Amino acid sequence: MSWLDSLQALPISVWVAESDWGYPLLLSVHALGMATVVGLLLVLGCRVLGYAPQIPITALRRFMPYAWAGFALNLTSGLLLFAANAVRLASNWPFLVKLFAIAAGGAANWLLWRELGAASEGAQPMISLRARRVAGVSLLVWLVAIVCGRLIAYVMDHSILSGG
Amino acid sequence: MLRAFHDTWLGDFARDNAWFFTLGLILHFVGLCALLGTMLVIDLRVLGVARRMPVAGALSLLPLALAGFALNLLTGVVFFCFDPFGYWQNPAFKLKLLLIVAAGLNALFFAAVARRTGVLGVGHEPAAMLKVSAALSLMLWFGTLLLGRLIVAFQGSSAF
Repeated sequence: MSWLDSLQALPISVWVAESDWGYPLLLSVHALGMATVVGLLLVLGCRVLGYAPQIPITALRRFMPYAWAGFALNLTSGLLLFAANAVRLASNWPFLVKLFAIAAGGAANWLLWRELGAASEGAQPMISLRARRVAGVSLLVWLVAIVCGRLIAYVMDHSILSGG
Repeated sequence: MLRAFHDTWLGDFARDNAWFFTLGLILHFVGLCALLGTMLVIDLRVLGVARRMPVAGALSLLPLALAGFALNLLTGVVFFCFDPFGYWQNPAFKLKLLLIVAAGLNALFFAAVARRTGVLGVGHEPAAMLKVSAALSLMLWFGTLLLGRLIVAFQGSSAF
């Protein structure tokens, strides 16, 4: 029995998979966290790329704790959703790509703030070309994460239909 | 009436092509991130987060929110045409529509108060009513999101 099977056999995993409310409730929480994390990083990315110049970029740093709260929510709900369906998710390609995209999104956000922080603590720091590039990459990988998140179910449904 | 939505070419196309529905869902998720991310920044600013940011600056993000809303209205119509009878008797969907209408009315209220109190300048503390409206806005939009995710769970139910 692989660790995936053991994980899926845990009582909490079985509850998520089989109770009436476990799965829909966790999916709802997961969507809420996504809207918070990706929504705030979308605003940040657009601002760095030149949208809404009236907003001091350094003021957007105040919203990062909310983005982290959303991330914590999604790490927790995501782990539970994974546990409920571990065996099939481990070989679901959109799921694996999504994990990479999230890791890349986190790295891009870290790089972006490092770049912006180096620019100065003034109200309107100069936005370097490098910062713009990182912001562009960040928007792109979060888009990939969302697309893959949707494709997880699409690929699974189709593997059910084709008996796979 | 529902039959008319069902019989549109949009409905036929969505039912015949699973990828089209999935593409709609992807765009719906992108749209909700644009809408909710923007509302988070605006409403939290009004509620006192990041006071160095002028409220007018936060409000300059509104086109992004409107673009997200427009995208979701459009894709939402596609989903509805896919199965109007199912959606129409789904309690989560009905409540979701109600919250969207309430959020729209609340936005009008927000605009009216903002115009009257002239709170949009730099450094002003927003009026109490504006803060109430901002808190309400967050609850209504995030409630809309949660109910949207619960539509599938209520499929086939006709309670409510």
